[in-house]
Parts: sequence; structure tokens; C-alpha cells
Amino acid sequence: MKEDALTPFTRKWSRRLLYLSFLNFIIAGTLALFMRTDQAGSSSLIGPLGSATVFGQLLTAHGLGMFVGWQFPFTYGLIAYALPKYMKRKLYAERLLPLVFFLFMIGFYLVWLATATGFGPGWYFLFPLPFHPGPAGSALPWGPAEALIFFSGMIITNFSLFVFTYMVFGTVFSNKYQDQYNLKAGMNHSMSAKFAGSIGFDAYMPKAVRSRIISYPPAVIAAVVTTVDMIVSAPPFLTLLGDGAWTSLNNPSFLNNLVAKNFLWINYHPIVYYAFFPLIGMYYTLIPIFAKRNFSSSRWAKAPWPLLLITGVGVYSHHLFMDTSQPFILQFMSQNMSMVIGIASGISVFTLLALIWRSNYEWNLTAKFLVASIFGWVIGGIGGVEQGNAALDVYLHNTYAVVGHFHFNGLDGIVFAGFGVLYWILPEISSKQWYSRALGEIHFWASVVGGFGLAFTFTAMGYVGIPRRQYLPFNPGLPFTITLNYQLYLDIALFFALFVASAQIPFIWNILKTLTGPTSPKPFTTPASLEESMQVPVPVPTPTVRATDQVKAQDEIGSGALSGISSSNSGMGSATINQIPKRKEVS
Amino acid sequence: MGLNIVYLTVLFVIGTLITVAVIGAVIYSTRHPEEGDKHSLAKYEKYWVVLIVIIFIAFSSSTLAYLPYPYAHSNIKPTMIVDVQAQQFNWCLEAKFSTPPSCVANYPIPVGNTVLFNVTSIDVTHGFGVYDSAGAILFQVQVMPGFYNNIMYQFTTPGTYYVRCLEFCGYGHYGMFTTFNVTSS
Repeated sequence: MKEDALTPFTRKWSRRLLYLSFLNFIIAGTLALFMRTDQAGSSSLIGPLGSATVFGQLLTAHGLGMFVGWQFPFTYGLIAYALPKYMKRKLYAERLLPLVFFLFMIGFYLVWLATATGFGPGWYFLFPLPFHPGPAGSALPWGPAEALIFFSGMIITNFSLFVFTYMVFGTVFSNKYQDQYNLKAGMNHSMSAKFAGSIGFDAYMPKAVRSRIISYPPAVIAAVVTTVDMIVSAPPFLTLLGDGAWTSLNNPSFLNNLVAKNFLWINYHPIVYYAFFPLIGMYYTLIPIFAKRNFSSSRWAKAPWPLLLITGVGVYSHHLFMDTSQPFILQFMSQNMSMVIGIASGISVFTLLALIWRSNYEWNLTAKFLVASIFGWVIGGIGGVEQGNAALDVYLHNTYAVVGHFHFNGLDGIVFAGFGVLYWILPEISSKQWYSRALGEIHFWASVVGGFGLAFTFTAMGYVGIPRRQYLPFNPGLPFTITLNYQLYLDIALFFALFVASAQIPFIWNILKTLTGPTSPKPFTTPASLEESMQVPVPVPTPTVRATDQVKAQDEIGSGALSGISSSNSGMGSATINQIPKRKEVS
Repeated sequence: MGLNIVYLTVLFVIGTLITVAVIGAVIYSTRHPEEGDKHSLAKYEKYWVVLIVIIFIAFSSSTLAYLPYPYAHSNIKPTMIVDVQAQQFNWCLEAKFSTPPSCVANYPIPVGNTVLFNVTSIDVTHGFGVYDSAGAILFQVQVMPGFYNNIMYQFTTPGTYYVRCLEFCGYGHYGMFTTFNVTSS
């Protein structure tokens, strides 16, 4: 790797974006805990802390906090790290990273400010609810000012996306770099060939053509695919946000409600994938390193990406299956796209699991989180296939089955993979070794128990018929809510939510101790590929041996931690026991 | 409606058990690494892809007959029409849309009727979800201001049915429900 590709400046802003994302994650998770206590009602362990109005605010702030507040800076930070790291070229216009950071932060905290001051139509803000919070004459929880703050914040947040997209496309497609992507003989002078390669489309080309297109690393393909999806779907979404701001100023809306709902979901579905696709790219990058072998076929590893690119946007209308006014052609397209995304996921999961199958897999903490997240991805996918079918969605739409689906995919899939990647790359971008492996293990196992327990409970609630987004789902006026014991399910959900929350305490402690710990005089690095991992002898970083881990560290050193790719040394931990036999100081 | 929530639950449970077994097997397999670089499972990938394509096509095709759209069932004619207006945070069922609405409490529907529900809203988007007395969701449709959505259902069992708002419509959303009666005569 070129020493200067991942520059100190990019490292600094990459880690700041990641810190911001996990700060937002903790805040948004805390809001979720309050939602659980509110929904569980007076019979819950804690009792309601808010009211129906506060519940609407929590509903809005939590969803936005996870899908935007966590995902956007996480994806920015990860891609800012991954493009230089795996493409071995400097991030294009890296000086714009602070602009991305501050645009996002200002925009998103305006959004949260709006929710804190009363704005609560849900994170998906179906028109015209933002402008009609309740019946005339009622004490309304928000007004036009809060709506205007919200829409302004969302618009500014999206500006950060445009700036970052410019950097991603510049890094991948610019001709200014004098490296293999531009200089290798073949078709790489052609933008169409570059684009085809960067979305993995070369997997579908005949060998004669494929051999003339340079192969992009999976993390780069993932970054391009997710960025294209977001930017393609941005214009209608910005139109919606502009209309929202315009209507907040007491003007008539220029979008009808069905068009507005389409403009929302055409962007909000790709948002769900914004972090997930780059993390899938990291599966393809890291699992070969942990399994100590490469994919038997690079075509299978690339084949899902063009499908994910198309379906990432094309499935959006399955959110409107219950709108019979929606043109049938869109419903038909989305149902089929939902199945295609299942096929693309099926190919990916098989490819990854087949690589792990009977390999000498290194079960370090990152590796564990990745496998747990694949499990969440598949289980969430089963629910997704059901809900992506209009004939079945009629029983599940807006029930807790949907909440179960996106907690399998979002929490157990995306966030767990995000934790795994963070444990892997943090030393590299911060020059600090993790404080404690034991805390990481506690974080992993408690998160798995709590995260999967929560998602399974939500799913069961959905099959029982419990609707989501209800302040109090049970009501004596609806006798079956008592006989089916909705309360019990809500209490179980609260229990697992508390479990998930508790699991983050060791994580927070670990990361705080890590960041306040000593800094290595030299940056650490990780192998960018299996080939690099085989070449790297592993000097044990010396400066950060912690007293609590010294004995274990010595044990592990004695058992072969210096052997480079030894699988006996697993899991993150303090410097000397870090997984990470393959992580070395750069001289 | 030939599908129901039991079908969905069974599907999910079977899928989950298979997933647990497969991932468990993959994890266990790493205790016995194979010699060399055999990729003993990867060679089956093309068969796997064919299999899941067939499964998804069969799955999707088999449900087409149950699409919840009245226009997809042109051979079935409704024997009764009920118009529904929603507003924060009330339901109004009436024989025909009127202004002001003439809502009928516990709207009576003789058993055996195939009812076409026309739904609209006068303020924000709601969700017209119908539960039977046992608490099972029978069907639902979104209720959007400015649009008339519709859904059809044949009632074969007398009793009280519950309408519950299934789309978040504001702070009073959780209390937005009503009932109608399917009568035996």
C-alpha cells in the first residue's frame, strides 16, 4: 500500500465521523428505551416516562437518529477510510471532509432540535401530517416553526450527502490518479468501462471483455453502489423536502399526497441500505482474511452488486402495497424487485458462508460480529420476503412484524457489522489499541442476546397482530388486546431493550478508555487483502499493554501470537492481545 | 382470502430453523478445517442460485391470486358497499359518502356479504385495519386524503369486528378505533 493513500487528515476526519455516528447511536438508542417504557405502560418495569405526544417525538427522533444520525456519518467515515485503504489512492478532495462533517452535524441536529421542540409525525413524516398535527382547536404538539426547522435540517443534511458523493465519485472515477485503475492497458480509459467495473457488472461480461476491465475491490464496489442509489433517489426526496419547507411557511403544498409518499420512499428505502452496502463490502474484504483463503470465484462475489444497485431503489413501492391508488405497475415491479433482492442476498450469503465453511477461520471479535450480523441479515430477510409480497403484507403492514424485520436487519445486521468493523479499524484510524478484549467480548455476547431477543419479540408481536407506532397498543375497548396479553409482549420487549442498552455500557467504557489511552508513535495498519495478510509478520505493538490484560497477553504471545496468521489469537483486546496478529505499526 | 397469519408464522419459523441449522453447521465446520484450498461448498453455488430463483418465482407466483386489490379480482363482484371516512382520531362508516358525514355506529353487515370498503380521509393518512374478535388482522388498506382506496372482503362469520387505525396519524392515533357488526341475518 502506498504510505500516503490513507492520509493522517483522512484518518482524522474518518474517525471523527465514526465517533459522531456512535454518539448518535447511543442517543438514539436511549430514546428507544424511553419508547419501550412508554409503550409498556403503567404495568411495565419502569412505567411510562412520557405521554402520547412525547411518544410521537420519540418515534420520530429514534427512527431518524438510527437511519440518518447513525448511518450517514458511519457510512461517510467508513467509505472515507475504505476508498484510500483498498483502492490505494488518496481520497479525492479530502479537504472537503470537514465540510461534510459540519453540514451533516448542523443539519441533523436541527432535525433533532425540531423533534425536541415537539415535532413528531414519525421519521417518515407522511404528508400532510407535518402540517396537520391534530384536530383544530386542540392543543397541538408542534406548529409550522418546528416543521420548518425539521425540513431545513433535512435539506442541510442532504447537502452533506452531495458533497460526499462528489468525493466518492472523484476518488473512484477521476483520471488524475496515475495508478493501475487509469494506466493499465485495456478499457479503463472509458468511463463506461470504469463504471461497469465499479458496480461489479463485469461479473456478467464474457471473459474477453471482462479481462480488459480492471477489477475493483469489493469495498469500492459497495461504496459506489450505495452512493449511486442515494444520489439517484435524492432529487425527488429534495423536492419533497423543499415542498415541506414551502408548506411550513403557510403556502399550499405543490405535491399531492400520493406523489409525496412516493418521493419519500424512493429515497428512504435506499437510506436503509446506505450503511449496509458498504458493510457488505467489508464482509467481502475481511472474511477472506479471517478464513485465510480467497473466494473460489470472483464472479460470484461480484454478481449480487448490479442487482443490489437496481433493486436498492426499485423495491421502494413495497412500502405502498396497501395504497390501492398506487399504479399496479409500480406494485408489480416492487414485489418482483423484493424477490430479486432476496436472490442477491442469497448469493452473497452463500458465497460468504461457503468461504467460511471448513476454513481455518479466525474467530476474533470482528469475525464474530460479522457472522452474527449475517445471521441477522438472513432472518430479517425472511420477514422481508413476506412483507415484500403484497398478498402477505396485508396481514403484516404496520404491525410489529415490520419492526422485527428492520431490527433484525438494522440492529442485528447493520449495527453489529458496524461494531465489528469499528473493532477492526479503530486502531488504524486512531493510533490507539483497544483497551480491553474482555469488555469487547461482553459487548458482543450481551448485544447478541439482547438484539436477537428484541427482534424475535417484535416479530412475534407482529404475528399476534400488535400494531406499531401506538403509544399504548392495548385498550379495554379492544378486548382481544387484553385476552392476547399484549402487555406481556411489551414487557418482554422492554426486557430485551434494557439488555441491549446494558450491553452498550462496556462498549462505551471500552471506547472511552481506548481513546483516552496512550497513542502509538506510529500508526497501526491492517492488511487490505488476504495476500497482504500473508506477507505481514506481526510485531506486537509495545506501548499500550494494560495491566489487566498483561497476563493473558503474555499467554497469547507464548501461544503464537507472533505467528502472523495464527488463529489461536482471536478477538480484539489490548495491544498485545489484539486480534490482530495482522495489525502492525507502520514504519 | 386463502392465506392467513398462521401460514406466515410457519414460514418464518421454518426459515429461522433452517438458518440456525445452516449457520450453526458453518460455525462448527471451522473446527475441522479442510486440507488445502478445496472450497468444498462453493462448487455448489450455481445449484443454490437456481434453487433460490425457483423458490422465489414459485413463492411470488403462488400468491398472485391473493393480491389485496379489488381490480385484481374482477370476477368477484361486491354485494355491499361501505364508505369510510377517517379523520383525526375517529372513524365514520356510512352507506354513502355524505357531507356532513352520516356515520352509523356499529355498522350492520349481514353475514355472507362480499363488502367493498371505499376509504378516504379528510385530514391526514390513516390505516383502515380490520380485526376479528379473536384479534387476528383480516385485512387493511391505507386511507389517504385526496384519494379513494378500496378493499374487498367476504364476511362468513357473524360477530363484532374492530377497525383500528394502522398508520400513525398523530398523538391520538392509539385511541382511534371503532366497531362494526356482522349480523347473522
